[in-house]
Amino acid sequence: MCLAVVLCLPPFYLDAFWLRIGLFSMAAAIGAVGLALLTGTAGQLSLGHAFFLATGAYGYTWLAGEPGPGLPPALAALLAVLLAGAAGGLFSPVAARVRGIYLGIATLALVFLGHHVLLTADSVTGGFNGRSVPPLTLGGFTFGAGDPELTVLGVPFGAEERLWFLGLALFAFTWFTARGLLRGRPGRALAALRDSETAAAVMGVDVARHRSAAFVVSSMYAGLAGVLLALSFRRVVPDYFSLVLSVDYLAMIVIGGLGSVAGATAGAVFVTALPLLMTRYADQLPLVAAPGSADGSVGPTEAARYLYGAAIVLVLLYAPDGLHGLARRARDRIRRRRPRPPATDPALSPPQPAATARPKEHTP
Amino acid sequence: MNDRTTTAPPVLDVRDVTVRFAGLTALDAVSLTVEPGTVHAIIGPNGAGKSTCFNVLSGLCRPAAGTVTLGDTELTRLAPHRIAALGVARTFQNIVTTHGTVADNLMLGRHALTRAGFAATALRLPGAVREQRRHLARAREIAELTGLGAHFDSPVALLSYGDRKRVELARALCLEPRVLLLDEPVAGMNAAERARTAEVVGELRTELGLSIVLVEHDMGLVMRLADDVTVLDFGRSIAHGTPDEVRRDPEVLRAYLGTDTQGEDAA
Repeated sequence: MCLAVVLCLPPFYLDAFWLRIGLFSMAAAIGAVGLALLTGTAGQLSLGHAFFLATGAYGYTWLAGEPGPGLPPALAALLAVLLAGAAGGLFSPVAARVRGIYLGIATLALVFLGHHVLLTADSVTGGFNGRSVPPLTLGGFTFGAGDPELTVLGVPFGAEERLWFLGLALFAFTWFTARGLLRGRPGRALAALRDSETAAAVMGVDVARHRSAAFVVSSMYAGLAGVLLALSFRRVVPDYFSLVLSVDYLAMIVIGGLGSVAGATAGAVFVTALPLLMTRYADQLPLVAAPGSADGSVGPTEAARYLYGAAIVLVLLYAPDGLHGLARRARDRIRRRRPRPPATDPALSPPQPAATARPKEHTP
Repeated sequence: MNDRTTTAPPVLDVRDVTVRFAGLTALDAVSLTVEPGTVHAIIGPNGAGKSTCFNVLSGLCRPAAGTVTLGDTELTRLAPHRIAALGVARTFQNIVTTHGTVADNLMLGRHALTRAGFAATALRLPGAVREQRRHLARAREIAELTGLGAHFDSPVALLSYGDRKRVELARALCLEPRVLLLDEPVAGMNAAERARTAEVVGELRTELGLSIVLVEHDMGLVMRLADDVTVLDFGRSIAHGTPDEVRRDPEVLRAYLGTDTQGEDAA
């Protein structure tokens, strides 16, 4: 609750640069939660997340824009999410048959296929140069600059400020639904599939159905993330949705800790914000060249990649359960270190004499 | 909550079941009948086909020939989750629990009895929340029944071997089964744990009226609990009868307990 209030403050204090970092992080977090559900909880390795993000982003852009049906943007956003889910559903027969690393390779094909389509289907995707994204409007309110002019508490609300609250709402929705799923019947069934398919089947879990459902749900979160990304970038280009993006998302959930919503969020913020921050502060960082300098030194983007490459190795070696696991262990340790409240139950009092007797042993 | 347990379980009938794995005949025309509310033990040396038999019963393995029927329903052609939904639950020889707490594992056992889908659970619709709460209460009851009450919210990974074995039993019970398949429920347990589990299994039969199929090497347990015993050797059913009959069967003594009567004491 307290956190929710804090998350509403940035638009009033921070400039567009920080808001954009936050916005990208929230979009990434939504996508990462989807992948965490699929790969972390259900144990299905996917390298095709970029494809479903692209489906959401381009789906929205086409459905809401010209050329395209030009639907009301809110409806287009909803349909784009469903479209991504449908794409996941279409792929799920493959997911139901192929396991582990083989599934990873099969999903890899999706990324290349998607990239090719984005480049060649000019009329829908705009080809290599992509296309601009129509802003989202909701009941006459535009999540973009102007229309209507809005100033809250003396702060002019431009596109970033408005999208921040949209992103926050969508992220809150993701957080709420994904945690509900994981703690409920479907989440338990998916975790059971990951740990042992035979045991899950014998417990009454329809294996094929749940494997494909995991794909559909994960793709829908990816689609939602894609819509938010498209709105934040204001332009979608094919090269963004490449294999590197899929790998980034895998990095997020590994760094954050597989199969947890909070972990995926933390990982998403880390992986998204790091390169942007390093670009901004490149001139103040040692060993990092300013962006655009071509003297063969390490640029901020590469440096960020080295850093989170290192972070993945460190996480795998020392904290296989990721940031989420680290946080939990730290919390446990603090709780243990805190002195226990004195026992009020008379049944617990007998050990006390022994405890008070102990200091005497120190005296010779 | 569940009317399954109020009626007597149907007869589980295995007829001439044959299973082959690439030339090896794991089960060769095995037949057995589990009468309602009885404990039927399947014994035999390692590799006799006991676990394969369980895999056929729970739908994990499709026989080359023969049928398995539960009442009027043929199980042989059903997927494992359908068989589970009919009230056939099993445990595994090697503990197979999922990550998470004892509660999570037991609630997995309630999967076939609950309905909440992805959308309802994600949106936390009142129906899904209510269902979860109701079934969690029943899972807690079952945990108490099997002596896991104190560990209900503990991660399974932190429990002792015996307790984890009991989690599997409790999880199977969470299906409110009519037929319970127990694959070596006391293997690797110490004497006290064995006695405790034997007690629980005995209670299940008398109080819930379950049919229980038991694979077990502990002959003491088999002799104490079983009403009927089927002896398998190299995939063939070599003897069938009450524990006393089987114990005296010369074929069994030779194949299972050793060539002379000393083997009986060793077992």
